[in-house]
Amino acid sequence: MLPVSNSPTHLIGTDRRFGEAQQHLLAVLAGLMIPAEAELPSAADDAIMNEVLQELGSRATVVARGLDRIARTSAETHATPFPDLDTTSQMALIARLRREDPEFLRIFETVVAACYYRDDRVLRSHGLAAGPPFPDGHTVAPTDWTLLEPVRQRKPFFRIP
Amino acid sequence: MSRADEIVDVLIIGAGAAGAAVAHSLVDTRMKILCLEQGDWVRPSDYPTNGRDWESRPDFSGSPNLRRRPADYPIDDSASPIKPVNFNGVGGGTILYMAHFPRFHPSDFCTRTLDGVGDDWPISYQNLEPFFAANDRVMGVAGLPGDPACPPKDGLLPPVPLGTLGETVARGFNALGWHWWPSESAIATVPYHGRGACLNLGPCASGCAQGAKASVDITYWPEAIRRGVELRTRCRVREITLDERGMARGAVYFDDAGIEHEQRAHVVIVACNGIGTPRLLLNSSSGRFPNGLANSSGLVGRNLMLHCMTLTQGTFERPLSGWQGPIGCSLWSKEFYETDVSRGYARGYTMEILRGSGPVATAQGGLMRGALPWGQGHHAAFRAMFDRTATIVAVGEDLPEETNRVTLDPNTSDSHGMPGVKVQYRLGDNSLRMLAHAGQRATEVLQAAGAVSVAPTLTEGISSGHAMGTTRMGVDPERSVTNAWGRCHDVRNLFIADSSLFVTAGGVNPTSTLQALALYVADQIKMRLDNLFD
Repeated sequence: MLPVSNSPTHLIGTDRRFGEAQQHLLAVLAGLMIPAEAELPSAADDAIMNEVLQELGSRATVVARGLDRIARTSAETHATPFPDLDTTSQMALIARLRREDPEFLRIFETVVAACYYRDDRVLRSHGLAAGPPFPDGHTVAPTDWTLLEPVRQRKPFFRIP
Repeated sequence: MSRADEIVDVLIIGAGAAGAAVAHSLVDTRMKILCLEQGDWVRPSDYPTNGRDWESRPDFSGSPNLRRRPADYPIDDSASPIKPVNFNGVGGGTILYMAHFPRFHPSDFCTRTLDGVGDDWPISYQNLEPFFAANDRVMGVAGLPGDPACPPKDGLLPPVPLGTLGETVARGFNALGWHWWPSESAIATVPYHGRGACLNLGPCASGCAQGAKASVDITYWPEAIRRGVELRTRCRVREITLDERGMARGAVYFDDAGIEHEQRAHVVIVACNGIGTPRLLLNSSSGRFPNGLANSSGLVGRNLMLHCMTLTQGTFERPLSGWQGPIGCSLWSKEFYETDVSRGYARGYTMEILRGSGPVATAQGGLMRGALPWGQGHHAAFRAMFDRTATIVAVGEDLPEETNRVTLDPNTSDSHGMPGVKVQYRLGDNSLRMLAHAGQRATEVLQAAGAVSVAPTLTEGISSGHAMGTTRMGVDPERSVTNAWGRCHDVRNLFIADSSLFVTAGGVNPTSTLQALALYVADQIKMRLDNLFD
């Protein structure tokens, strides 16, 4: 069972480049790609999907084409809407889509990964600090330069013309 | 500020690594110097590491086709396995480079004599040595003296720490008995000339919010401007114009409002990088030069070199803390840099060890390779991947070939209607043999370092900001575009001062060498002011 509701998600985004059915299908796909696990949210989480929809908005034409293809293929091969298919059938259809419309999946995966793996809850669940690197930065341990001893013993070996 | 109808002494086109160095050097002459730059200043607060979307900002992508800023011009790279990247703005490519800062080796300047391939430069390492040193002082270079693979150098800042990842891979090199050394890096590891010390933010290739990385907007330019150089941004040069004597008259450019001007100058210096420079010359055709300005040799745009490269990634069982620290500056190996004919190819390559990626880039890369699945296995696969990968990039010397070239693309244009460019590039046989060798050696190092798996080596689709050779220097006007100090054979007050001048590519990142060369060109101009056009 997918960890997403089959009813339209309650998104708080203001982007209107995708209709309600398209938004729902995108959330189903995101949840299929990255499901919830323990403290980790699903990529279909409302806050994450809100950012996904905003970022996909700039590629709305390609995304809409991909979503139409999914809906059409699901109806033709299973006579069932994609969100209502079992996981195995959904995955098989995604594999087919990967062959037939790789551009859509490349964009979708890139954006979902970007929005998911910058989410504070996700970062903390992986033991990482939330937020940007600047200004705190990171501490890198001092180097054990004795590692270089074998190299220091070599004579110069660059060619002098 | 100069008036539009004023004739300046020197007009520099492009405010990147080379243009900044030239301006900084020529200001000693007290000449009126103007630089026109098509892009703008980048504010430190704009860099991605200020925000939580720091790993995925398309406006700081290296690809102009993804970035699509107003200053960018399209590059059709569909006919090239190597994908050119750049940045158009004050600082040029140094805004997004990794600050990996090796110099060319002495042998790189005479490959024809030594190895029977490529061509000899009209200058030597010894000619450039004082300018390497001068450039290092302005940029601030971290490293460790004593590398047996390179000529000695002074004045290095403390090296960038290797981190767990670097030490792990270094042990692999030691196990094989191969050379390695901490990378020389244009990064302030201690406060340097007003720049703060490196904070190990990680993604240098999307800009340094701390200002520790030596981009020329914060190294060369502030002093050059203080001393009188005028830098005019958001001014895109469309064409270099000629007078009735066949000398450069100046340049036609669009200002920020899109209004066209002609800026006249006694000397014009082009520094738009290995792709932008031939683009401008080819777009400056005239009755005298129907095939592009200064192109009687037919070589403008030809002999494009991008470096042939491999990318080999190993996965380790334990965390490597690899995404913390300058991503491009850990250690290098020159074990296979100099020619050894028993390897089956001429010339050689540097192995550069990159630090790991952040969580977003890890996930995106895993998805792209099919290594990170959809569904319930996703999280376990991510945990096994994140912070457990080390990458070796081999930067190999591709030989100059006239069929590798930059041409104007009539099918695309920039925001002012000037044609974009098309890059046609193929990997030569020598490069392919070198890449096969490099991929095998990188795999062996990663295995020796303890990698539990090593992915197949990639040789195509890799990005390169190392465009070189498209207006090569030389003594023979039929075989080169400029003379031995950057003056065009065809137009005696037109100079080129960037990596377009390179005769061969070396097997290292080019920024240190192109800046030393720019300082050399400027120095030659200064020494010859009384008879510069003779």
